[in-house]
Amino acid sequence: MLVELDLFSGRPAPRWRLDPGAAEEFRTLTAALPPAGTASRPRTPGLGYRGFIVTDGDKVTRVFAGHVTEGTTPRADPDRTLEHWLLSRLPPLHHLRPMVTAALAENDRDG
Amino acid sequence: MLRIDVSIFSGRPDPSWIITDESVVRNLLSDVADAAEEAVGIPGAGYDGLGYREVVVSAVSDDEPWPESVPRSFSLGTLGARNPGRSAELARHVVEGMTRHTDTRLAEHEQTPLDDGLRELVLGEIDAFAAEPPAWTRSPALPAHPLRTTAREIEPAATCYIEFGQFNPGFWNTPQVQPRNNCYNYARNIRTDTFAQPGRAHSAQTGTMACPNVTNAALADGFVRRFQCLPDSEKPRWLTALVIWPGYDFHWYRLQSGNFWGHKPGSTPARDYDNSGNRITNPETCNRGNYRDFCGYFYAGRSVVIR
Repeated sequence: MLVELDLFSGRPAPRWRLDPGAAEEFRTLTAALPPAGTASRPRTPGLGYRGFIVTDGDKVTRVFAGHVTEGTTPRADPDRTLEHWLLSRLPPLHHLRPMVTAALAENDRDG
Repeated sequence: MLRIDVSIFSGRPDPSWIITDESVVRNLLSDVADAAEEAVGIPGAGYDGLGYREVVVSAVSDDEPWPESVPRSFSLGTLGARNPGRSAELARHVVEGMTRHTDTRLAEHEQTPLDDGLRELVLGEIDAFAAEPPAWTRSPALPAHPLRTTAREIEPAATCYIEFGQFNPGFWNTPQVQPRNNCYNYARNIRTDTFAQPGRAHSAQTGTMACPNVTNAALADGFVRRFQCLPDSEKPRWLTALVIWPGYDFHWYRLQSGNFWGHKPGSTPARDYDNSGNRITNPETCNRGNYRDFCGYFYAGRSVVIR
């Protein structure tokens, strides 16, 4: 399972793999989220933090601002547990962690 | 492959054919590219009355190799071109080959078969059109040259010429192009499918995300600072702007026809608005999120190579 931090404009997005245990946990957490109903997907800001993109085989899940789109299935994650969970598994990109944390906090304030 | 449509009829289907011969496609696009400034028009922007109107040439697929100076759908033999005579010459050349390209059957061929009679009819109409252009009073909907216009940039020490490209996000925002091309590709206006990095094509890439470092990497690729004028041989000469998220990333903008700026944040769609949703008229003052360092303006000419 490949995780991509959708953050940069010019440089390639940071990517890392989840180990099998973490991958299974991600699937379980995602499956437990309720359907999002008709709420539209939040608009990403363009420049800056735009969430996580998780690729599991041919299934792509986008996670941003409390909204999780698993394939074509929208799910609600109002507490942004999945986003924080992914953030906590950021590998040795320690320099990015404070900045993404700040972006999440800023989204929380705005949202 | 190219699709050719001769806009001439009113009731029956217009003559249309597909050119599958790669060498014919290559030669035709090369001839058109050489004369693009004077001979190419926008489909539908020229004469729109009854009778012969134009010859429209279009790409059949997204990945057709295409000259940078030519739009992916354009017209020849049109009053929308700056030089209708030269445009008619190229249109004639295209139509002369009509009957050699019947291998791809189109539905139109049932009522409008591609035969010598049709070919001679169209050639005669093009000649008459060129010799005595029909009265045409409608103003062109768009500039005569579809992709770019040239303008002067003046500062006390220098007057430079640059080109403005039409904002064409549709080229970038496809599944084949969007994920593999970033802001640097957009600024240089070239699809490399490599998520291009400043300096990489010239072993001058930097890992330090600061104005001087990324600027030097871009200069190694052939970018030049604004008001270091580029000659006509460098057309199209795009005006671009570089900004930096200090320590993390770079970002580029490109000036578009209409006096606004386009950009493509990473693998997201190309757009003309900033982080506040406002159309970008000034990259120095638009909402750039964390990309707070404005490094300056640069020209990107034809010889800039990025990878």
